Amino acid sequence: MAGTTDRQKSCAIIEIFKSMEYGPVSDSSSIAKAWLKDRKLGPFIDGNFKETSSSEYDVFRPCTEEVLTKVGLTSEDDISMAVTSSLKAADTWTNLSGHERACHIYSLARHMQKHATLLAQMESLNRGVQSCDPREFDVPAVVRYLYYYAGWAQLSSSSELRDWKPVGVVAGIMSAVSPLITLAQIVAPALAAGNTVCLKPPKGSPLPALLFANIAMQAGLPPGVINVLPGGSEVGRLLVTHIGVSKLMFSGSTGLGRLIRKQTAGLGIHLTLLLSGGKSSMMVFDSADLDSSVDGAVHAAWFNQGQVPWSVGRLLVQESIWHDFVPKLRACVDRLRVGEAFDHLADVGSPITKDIITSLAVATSVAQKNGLEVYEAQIPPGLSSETFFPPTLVIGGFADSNLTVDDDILLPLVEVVPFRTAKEAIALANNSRYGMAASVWTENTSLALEVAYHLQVGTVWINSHGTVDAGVPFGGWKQSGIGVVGGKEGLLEYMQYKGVRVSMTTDPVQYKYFGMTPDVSVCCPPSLNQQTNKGSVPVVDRTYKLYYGGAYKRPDGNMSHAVLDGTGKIHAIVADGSRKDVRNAVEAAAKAQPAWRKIGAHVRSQIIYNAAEKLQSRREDFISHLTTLYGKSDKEDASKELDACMSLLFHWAASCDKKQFAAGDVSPNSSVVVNVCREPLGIIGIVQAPVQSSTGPWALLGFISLFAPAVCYGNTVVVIADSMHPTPALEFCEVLHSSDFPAGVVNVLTGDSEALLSTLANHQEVAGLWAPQTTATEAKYIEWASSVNLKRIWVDKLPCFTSFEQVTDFRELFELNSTRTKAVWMPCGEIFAN
Amino acid sequence: MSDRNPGCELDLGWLNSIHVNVPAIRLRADVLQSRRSVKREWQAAWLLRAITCIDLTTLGGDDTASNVARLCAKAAHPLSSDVLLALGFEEDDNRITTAAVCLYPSRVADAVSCLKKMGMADKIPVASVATGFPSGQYMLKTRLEEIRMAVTSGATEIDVVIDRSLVVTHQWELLYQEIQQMKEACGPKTHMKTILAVGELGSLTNVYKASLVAMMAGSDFIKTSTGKEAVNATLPVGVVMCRAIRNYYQRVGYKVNFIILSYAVLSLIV
Repeated sequence: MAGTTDRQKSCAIIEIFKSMEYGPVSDSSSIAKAWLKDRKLGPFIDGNFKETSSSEYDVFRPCTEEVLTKVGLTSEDDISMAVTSSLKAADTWTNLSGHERACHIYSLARHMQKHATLLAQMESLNRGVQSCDPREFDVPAVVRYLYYYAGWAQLSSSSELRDWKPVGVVAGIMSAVSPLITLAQIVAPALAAGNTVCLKPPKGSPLPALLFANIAMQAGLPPGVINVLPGGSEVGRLLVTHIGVSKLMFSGSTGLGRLIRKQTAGLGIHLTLLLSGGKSSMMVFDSADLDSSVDGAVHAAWFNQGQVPWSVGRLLVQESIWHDFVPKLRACVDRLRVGEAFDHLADVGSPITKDIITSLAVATSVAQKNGLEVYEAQIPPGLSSETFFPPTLVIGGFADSNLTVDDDILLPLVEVVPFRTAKEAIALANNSRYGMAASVWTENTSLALEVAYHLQVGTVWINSHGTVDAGVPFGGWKQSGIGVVGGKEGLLEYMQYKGVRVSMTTDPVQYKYFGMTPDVSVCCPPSLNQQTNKGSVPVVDRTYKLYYGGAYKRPDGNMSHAVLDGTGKIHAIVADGSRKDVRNAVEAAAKAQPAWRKIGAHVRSQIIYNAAEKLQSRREDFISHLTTLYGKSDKEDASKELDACMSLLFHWAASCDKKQFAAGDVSPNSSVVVNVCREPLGIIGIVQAPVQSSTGPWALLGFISLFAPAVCYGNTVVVIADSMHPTPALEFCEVLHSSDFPAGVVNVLTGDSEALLSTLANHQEVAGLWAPQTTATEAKYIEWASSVNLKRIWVDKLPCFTSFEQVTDFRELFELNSTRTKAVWMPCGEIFAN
Repeated sequence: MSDRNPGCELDLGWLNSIHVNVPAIRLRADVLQSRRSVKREWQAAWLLRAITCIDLTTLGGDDTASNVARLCAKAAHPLSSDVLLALGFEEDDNRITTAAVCLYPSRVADAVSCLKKMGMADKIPVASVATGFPSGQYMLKTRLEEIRMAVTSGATEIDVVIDRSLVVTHQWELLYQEIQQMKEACGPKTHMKTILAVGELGSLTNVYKASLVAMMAGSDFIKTSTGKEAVNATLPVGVVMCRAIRNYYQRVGYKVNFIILSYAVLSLIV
């Protein structure tokens, strides 16, 4: 018998010797299966898997009928138990020394390293991704994240973190498209910062997270520091709205991110969202290494089944190389092997969820209908087209004017689109609601860096695509997310600045009707009269207009209202701005922003200094204006305010051209240069509030406290002036007007603040909205409405508004809220020998 | 496809369009190593195939007729009979020999007579290095003469080295002309393998361009290195040269052969 087998083998060898074919090579899943065998899995609370669960459900291998195991579903009681356990654990965990926490996280990293194979197999088994993906990418990255943040735990008592403290219990929500790496992106920084974590893995693939928790226990992590709650969206909803949760990190689709933003409005929870709507662009210029860019594109397009947020979805190719590039690309796609997750030779496997296959078919048929070429690789015989998809190219244009890729579903599809010039490539890449990442392929460094400057994304890879490192902040712009994972900024996501209080309320807000009821009490102001010896005579009306686009403008509705001074007398008449005025102001701000950013920090700094000079020259005017407005009898207080304003303007002018806290070089090794820039958000909406001094409100200082840092970092602003004291800001616009501030950089509106706010909060082009000191109801509304385009909102109570001595203390916090991260990766090296 | 690379006109526009990104090539080389694998029967068959691709070489200053004879014997029977039988081949299977034996010009006659005695003269080509091997730093006239003399001695393949100074200083026309003349000196029947000595070319872009020039000038094979440079075949170099060959094939329609001088690369498929 054995002899026959040997002979068969020998024959086979001669045949293979002739044909030179590849043979089957399978990776193992045995360790993962052994771990699952006879193991009771369910909610992992306080260091144990919950033994009895009222309801269990089957966990399948994706796209198959194969049941891997049963997992107990998390109940509402379990969630309460878990959060209680996390809160309890946080008491001790937070009070451990930085070194002690570092030792724990270090041990966690060591244990993950020891169980690397098991973790990788579990991820592949339960998420259906190719076995090499977690083995080569996710698991090493998980380990790296843990080591990196063990380092931050060690440094948590150092001076650079002196002003930051942990937030408490972090809820981490993962979705079906969150790869294994997300686990570490949530857990490592949260624990390092001194928080405890309740994790909700996706319902269909909870096993890697449960395994992670189990290994964490072996590593000696105290019970309750990590709890894992398997279940669906209901478990997610109950967890994120739980009163004990102080911070939320979510990784998943933009649609769900938006829903969570709404669900958590008013709860006083800060969000970090890593959203997978849309896909990344890759642009190939005629100065690129074509063969490498073809290989790079194909690898980055179908890594992890093409279903991670940074997968390449749009491949922009310069027209001059189109005819060289496209045949190479087709040939490369032909060579891709489709196969099972544990087939060692397969490059692409089945999708994470089956519905992708139907969506892909719909998308390609639309593309065909639009006259585009659809090019598909082959699915090998023996594999079902119901569970496997062919790697697909749509060549020549966007499949359905944005719909195919610019959508919430991550289709494993690449649109190949020609462009003519760098300018056009940038415009095509930026024409998206999303902004996770992009790559630029060219050997021309000057071109690469210029394109990187213009791309509206959180990560730009030059001549590479998809590299991540724990030390480099990674996060999306626009509707691809809020906040970052990685780096020191990733740590600060899980910390609260000293003295800052979150705004929360349980009061219901009628979101639909917010700002819809006009405030009639302030309409139709009586004319201002003065008594003369001939009786009462109307004084010459002093009616302030709105200030936007570099000029004072009459309000669209032609309405105005009175402003009272501190003694209750009418002080001035101000314009009643409406929705139309907000839209005009935003348009002006949008027009001004690119140039304002481009002129650079030095010039911006000079312009702010110039405004300070002009303020100084009008000092006496302002003092008497403020004194009257506040109804004070002497000018001492206003004089103090002016001093503070001057100092604050100088402070921001000085900060403008200095190195930013969170920017700089974070290269993980010598073969790549990674530069992190902090770039302006764009347009920031500001709800002005006065600084409360011991003697009363200081409105001008409040205005400068917010607009100056925002413009200092290159943003343009639309300010809703304080409804009680709108005139100082309007007066100050004259100062801005006479200094060198370009039109549209600062815009100030007055009027019914709720109506203005609702327009601003719902505006798609407004990238950030600051309303510190606003009412809890307004804050709740802002949080809810910001979900429309996932604005960066800032509605915390800031100590600098209650104590004017502190106005210059919060530079780092203002920088973080004025800017967002762009990490530019540039692999380097030309020397190949010796 | 013809047996010999017809070559083509020197196309400088094509050369100038070449860009090579070293970090991307390195990454590609890493991915290649993890994404493909052969095991069991496939591993055995692929290793056998590798043996048949080897130019079994001795290039020592102390080579004599006796060690050349041993070399030829090994080339004719690289595997012991019991192993060959176990793998399903005949004891004297003609298919399993090395691709050639390779020596200095003055040892060619020894090898030819040895192989004749074994009856393997028409099975195993005798390859001779030439053109001022290994440095190429000699006059063109003598370099060309070396080729002719080696062919006269019975060599059926000539391994030429290029003048690296022409690559480093980007004198592509001159390089093209020299290789063309070398090809001419080889005559119509002798295969020409062009050794690029990649370790001395300065950059991978130069490696890519030198590969293209060598193919345009009619080389039947391109080869990484002489074995005498400090750096020889590495996987990134292999990636670049394979891409050049593919590029040439796509444009000209001839698939030039590729020789890698490395044990490390061979071990990759094991």
